[in-house]
Formats: sequence, structure tokens, C-alpha cells
Amino acid sequence: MTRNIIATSMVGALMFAVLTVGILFISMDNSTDVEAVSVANQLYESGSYQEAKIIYEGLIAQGTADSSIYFNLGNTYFMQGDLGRAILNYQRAARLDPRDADIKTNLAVARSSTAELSTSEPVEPIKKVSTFSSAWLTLNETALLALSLWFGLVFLVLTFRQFQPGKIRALVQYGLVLTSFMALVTVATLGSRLYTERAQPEGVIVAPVVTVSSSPGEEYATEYRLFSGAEVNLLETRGDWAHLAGTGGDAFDGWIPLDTVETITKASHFAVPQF
Amino acid sequence: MRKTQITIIAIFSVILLAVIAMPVRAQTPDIVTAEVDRTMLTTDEALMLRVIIQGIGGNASEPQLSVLDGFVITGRSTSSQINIINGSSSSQKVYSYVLNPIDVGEFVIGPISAALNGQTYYTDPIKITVTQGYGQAPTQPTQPSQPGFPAMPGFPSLAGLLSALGFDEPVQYDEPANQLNSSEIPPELIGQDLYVEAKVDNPTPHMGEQVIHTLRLYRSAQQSGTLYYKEPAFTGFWVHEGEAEVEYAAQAGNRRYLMTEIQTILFPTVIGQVTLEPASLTRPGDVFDREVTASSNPVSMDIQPLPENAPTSFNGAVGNFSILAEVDTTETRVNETVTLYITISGEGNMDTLADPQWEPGSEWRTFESQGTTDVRTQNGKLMGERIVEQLLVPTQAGDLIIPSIQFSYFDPQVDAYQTISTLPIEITVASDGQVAAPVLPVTDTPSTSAVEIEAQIRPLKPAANNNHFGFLLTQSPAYWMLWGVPLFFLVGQFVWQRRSKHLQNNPGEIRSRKAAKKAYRALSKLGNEPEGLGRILTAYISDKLDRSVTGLTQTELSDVLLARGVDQDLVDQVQTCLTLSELGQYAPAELSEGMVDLPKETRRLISRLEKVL
Repeated sequence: MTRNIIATSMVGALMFAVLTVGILFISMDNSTDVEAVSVANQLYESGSYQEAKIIYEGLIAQGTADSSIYFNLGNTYFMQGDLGRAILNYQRAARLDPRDADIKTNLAVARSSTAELSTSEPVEPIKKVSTFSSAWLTLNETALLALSLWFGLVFLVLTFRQFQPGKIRALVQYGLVLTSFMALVTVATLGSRLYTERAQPEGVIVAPVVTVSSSPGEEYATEYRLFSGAEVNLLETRGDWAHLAGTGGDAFDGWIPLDTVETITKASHFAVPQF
Repeated sequence: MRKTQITIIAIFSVILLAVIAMPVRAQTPDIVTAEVDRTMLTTDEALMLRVIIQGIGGNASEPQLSVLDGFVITGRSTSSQINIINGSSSSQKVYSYVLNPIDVGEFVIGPISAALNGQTYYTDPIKITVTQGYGQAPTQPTQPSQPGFPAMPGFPSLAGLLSALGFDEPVQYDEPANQLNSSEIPPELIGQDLYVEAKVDNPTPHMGEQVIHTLRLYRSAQQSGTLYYKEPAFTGFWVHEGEAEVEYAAQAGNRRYLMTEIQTILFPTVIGQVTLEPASLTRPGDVFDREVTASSNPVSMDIQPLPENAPTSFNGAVGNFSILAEVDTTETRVNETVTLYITISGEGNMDTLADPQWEPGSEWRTFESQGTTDVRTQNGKLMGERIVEQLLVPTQAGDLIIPSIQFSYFDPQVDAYQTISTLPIEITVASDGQVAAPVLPVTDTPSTSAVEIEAQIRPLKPAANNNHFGFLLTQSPAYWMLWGVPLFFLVGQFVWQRRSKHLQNNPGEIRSRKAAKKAYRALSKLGNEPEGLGRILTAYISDKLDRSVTGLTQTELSDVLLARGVDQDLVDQVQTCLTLSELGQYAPAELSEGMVDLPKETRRLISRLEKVL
């Protein structure tokens, strides 16, 4: 019995070490240029929004993914009256830090300033799961939680197999059922978010106003117009045109020029600016 | 198996399947995809269906189209594309089909199958809505698919493409406003229904030099029916998007012709002899007439390499350029920004023009530059300007200099490299606090003041030096590899448990495995005393062979060792060692100092036996 406990503890410690080292290895070499952000913030405070914007965007182009930078960039666009890009960057900040009250507040203020109606709740179950989870956890947190639960689940399976029937095994059995359920839910959530962000990435209209066409081409223009800050789902791209639909229950479905919309998260098969 | 265990295994399997399936879904691109140029059309229009097969390096078959309700195929073609970016290559083959609607309503193009490397892939179904056009809804297939008409493999297009080329209607041509000069009409045109002519303005350009490719498509004004146009392939060239098209009318012999001229700007990307694949124009045959195809003459070019003596600031630009540097202010203070605008303008491939490389000096802090490119075509030549916006922040006070910026290009007109540079710019930088703080600019928003707007939103955040990852974990292959690690533990435990069970059922194997270790331990305890060496050696052999030590005489031991394949010499040495050990036990005086080191010899013998047994 003691030998089994020692062996199981060692395996658990080893798995935890592999998980920790693996995650640390993946996340190496990521730091924000604090000095550059400080300069940009000073420029913003002195009213030099254009210069501040260039620095924030430069930092993002270098690969820095810090919610503060997106938040500040959102403020900069907001001050310049570019509500579309303000909402876009608040959304990007929220993706990195969904529980931040400041980001939620500014996003709400920016949305309320646009000519668009407020966004409605999604109707597809897979998008519902994705939207609900993204309000609480970042994609990375979800991915990390799923991986940790997977490690925990396998550790419990190992422990279950290691012990003969008895109290410890019965206890592990309950843990196994509970962890399996949690892992299943988390993996399903992760899957729904990956699917949504890949198949139907969310985007924001960044042009002041854009006319929606029924097919790719200006000759198919309709009466329907979208204004800067409108939040949409991108369905596909064809040439210089993007096929999109309204988020949630909005029924509209149409085509707009590709350069009038930007996606919130990265989607490699969309030729729009990458996040 | 108990019910709970079955439940656990079922849950575990579902999770495992989800985990295995998810990354594949998330990361594997579609091998075969189908796309259409529109999902809604009228009966007057044609639909372009493209089936794209990724990775044509493999053995791909032609896609099998399912039954097409409501459409007929009136044209098809294939094209291949290979991209090489940063040393990695990708390829695709595109099968294009022109579909003409024969009815109104909603139709579904079912899954299209294509085999690649022995595996069959399917595309997603596509829903198409056909509405009534201005003309009558066709009740039977259009011309090329009528009985007796030949199939048209290798030709991409129909009414839609001809329309794009300026052939508004295949049968009823409008008279173009431009009249072609008779001196420009090729003599080969006389008597032809269709004629295609291709030429370039420079058959011996340098790599990267601008070349204008001109294609002229002639068709007799009496020509009737649908024409199929096959575009030329520009393999080995960078093609500037946005070809120019002009329509002309021409008279040759007794015939009147309509001519569409298409100009394409090319930039060679390879060196040596290159022949452009011809374009063609085809009129399909029918019961009264045979098929007619006119192909353009092959155009060959000899691409010259650039000279070797390139200056260090040369970055691949070919053409004729000028450079200018300007700043938004010449007076600033420490940690205030100065914006430097570097403008390169001229004639050449502006789309791929690299920014000049320069070092501003340690007294300047630079930030990521942003560039905009404005391209236009003038007299058939591509020209424009690129403006690079570079933010500079002085780190010290004084009269600082933004140094001269050099830019080199190859000028094909004079066949030599040219280096141009900007003038140094002097900036007066005051120390912090000497210059008044800038006034809050008038905001870009028209109706509300900056202060009012700022009051609505939460203020800026300092840099978090964040706790977040700098990227999406799920985009890292290492993340998905970590998912496989627990499986190794599972396999390891399975193997270990099987091994333990096996050893439990085979105690002799354990005894045999531990024989050498036990003997060495006994030898260590014994030290240099010869007594007991024989007992240790005998015990080792009995353990190793899983035999009882009782009754194992020297003779029997030799027989057993020989039977196990131990060579005679080693058996003799074992015998000698055992004899000497007995001698040492009963007559130690007879073991003189000059004789062998018996414990060491015993250790050596065990080592040798361990290798044999």
C-alpha cells in the first residue's frame, strides 16, 4: 500500500512537473516594453493621439499581446472619433482580459455611441457556449484548464489502476467521475470556441459606413447599410469581398468590401488584418 | 466488469476522441474545397464553380461532380499554382466549371468527390438560388452540351469571362469607338475567324524590370455563338493586378473584326530563357461546323541577371526612383516625438519595394515604421510612391542630426546601379520642461469636445508587464503535443504492470536476474579472504540457472554450464577457481602470494558468466 502511494505520488509530481515546464516553455520570451507604453501614454495624455496610436500599434505588430495596450489603443481611437476601431480594440482587450471592468465599461460606452443597434444574443448552441465562456475565461485560460483537467484525469486513471479495491480506490473513483465530467465540459467549450473563431470569426466594421451587397460586387448593392462599430460574423471571403452575417439573431446576410471590416481574433483563412 | 468501470471507460473514451479530433479539426486545412462566384443568379447568368485540390504533388484525380439538378456544364478548365514563400512551397490545382441554369428555384450542388493519394475527399454542398432573368428560362441545355457537340476540356470560360473581357454578348457585338490603325493589323489575320496575337515590349529584360505584355484577341464581326477564352500563364513573373483592356474595330481584307487588347504588367522573377504559355480563343464545333481554336504565338524572353557589384544599400529595387526625407518639426524636446517621412517615388514595382535600411544613432529611439504605397499606371508603365512614416524620440538634448538615408536601385536604362540619398536633417532638442507642453489638439470628433469624451471612458492603463501569453496557446504545436504526454504515462503504467505480473508468475526469472547483484554484494562483504569464494560462485551459478545449490558438485556444475553453451575454457577457469577456493579454505599456506588474486578472479568470472548465461 505504502509503496503504491509513493509510486503514485512520484508519478503525480512528475506529471505536474511536465505540465508546468511545458507551459513555461511555451510561454517564454513574452514581455511588454513598459517604457514604450509609458511614452505612448504620455503622448496620449498630452493629446498627441496619432503618435500614441503609432506606438501602441507598433508594439502590437511586434507581437505583444497585452490587454492594457489594446485598451489604451481603443481609448486613442475613441478620442479620435473612430468608434469602429475603438470597439475592435476594446473587444481584443476583452479577449485577453474578459473579467476587467474598465474594458467592459469602455466597450459599453463605445457601443452606445455608434449608430448601430446593440448586439443581440446568439442563437446557435455552439456560439452560445462560446459567447458565455468568453465572458469569463480567455481562450488561453480555457486551453490551459482543459489541458490541466486532462492531466488530472489521466493521473486519476493511473491511480485507480494502481490500487486494489478499497477506500482509496473508491475515493479515486468518485474523483474520476467528477474530473471526467469537468474535462468533458471544458474540452467541449474549448472546441466550440476554436470552431467559432475559426469558422465564423467575429469582426467589426471599421469604415464609417458601408453598403451591403447581395453578392460580391458593387453592382449587387442593396439598401442595407452598416455603420462603423457594427459587430458581425465573417462567413467567408472571395477576392476583395467578405461574406458576413449579423451576430446573434440578426437576420441580415450579405457581402461588403474586405477592407471595411477587421476580425477580432486571428483566423488564418481570412485575408483580413491579423490579430 | 462492474457498471461503474464501464461508465468511466465510456466517459474517458468520449474525452479521448474529442481531444484527438479537435486539433485535427482546428489545424488541418481542407484538402478539397468547392466554391462558386455567387449563390444567387438569374437564368441570364452563368455560374462559375471552382474545385480546388491542395497539394498537387500527390496523385490527384479529376473531381467527380454529382448530378447537377437545374444546371448544365458548358465549359471546364484546369489550372495549377505553386507558391514558394521563404523556402516552403505549397501547390494547388483548380478545376473550373461554367454552369448554366436551365430552371428557376433553389438547387444544391452536392458533395464533389476527388481522390488524392488513394484517399477520397468530399466538398461541402453548395446551395444556389436561380431566379428568372429578363430572357426566357432556358428549357434545354445551352449550345455546347447539346447532343453532337464536343466536350471542351481545358477551356475555362464562357459568357461571364467574355463579358469580363469586354465581349458583352457572344453573338451581338457592339461596335467599339476606337478604330485600329491599318498598319497595326497583322497580315495573318486576313481570312481568319479568330486570331490571337501576343507580344512584349522588351524580350531581354533584367530580373525585376518592368515588361508590358500585350495580348490582342481578334474575332470576326460575323462570328456567332459562344467563345471560350484561355488566359496565358505567366509562370516566372510577378504580375501586377489590374490589367488594362481596350476594344477596337478593324478592317482586314473584306472582313470586319472586333479586337480586345489586354495589357498586363510583368516583373521577371527568374533568370534565363522563359517562354510564356499561349492564350487561346475557341469556338466550339457543332453539327454544321468544326471546332476552331486560335492560339497566340509563343513569346520567349531571355531574362538577364542583375550585375554582381550591387551596393550594400541595394534591396532589390529595379527601375528609376527618387528619395526625399521630411520631418513634421525641427524643434522638439527630450521624449517628444518627431515624425520622419521618407518618400520613395518613381517607376518600377512599387508593390514589392523594400523600405530603405538605416541607423538613426543612439541618441534616437525608434518605433515600428508604417508605410503606405500609392501605385498608378501611366503610358502603360507602373509608377507611384511609397511613404514610410517613422517615429523618432530623442533621448538627449542638443542639436541632433537625422543622418542621410541611402537607397540603391538598378536602373535598366543605363544598365547600372544608382545610389541616391536624402540630406541630413538637424533637429533642435530641448531638455524636458523647456518647451511648453503641447496643447490638446482639436479632436477629430465633430460634435463633442475631447474633454467631454474623455470623461465618459475609463482612463488609460499602465503597461501590465502582463500575465498573459503573448499568443494563442492553441496555435502552438507544443501545446497540442503536451496533450499526448499523459498517454505515455498510461502506456508506461500498462507495461510496468504487465512486467510485474510476469515476474510474479516467474520467481526463477527474478532469482536469475538478481544472481549477479547478490554475488557481488557477497564478494564485497567477504573482502580479500579466499574462504567462501567457492560457495559464492556456486550460489551465483545455481541462482543464475534457477537450480538448487544442494547437490551441485563441481562435476555436475561443469556439465550444466557446458550444456548451457558456456565454452570449455571458461568452465575450466570456474573449476580452477573453485579448487583454489577450497585450497584456500583448508590449506591457506599453500596459496602463495604470487598466485592469482582469487576474489578479483571470482568477480571477473561472474562478469563473464553474466554475459554468456
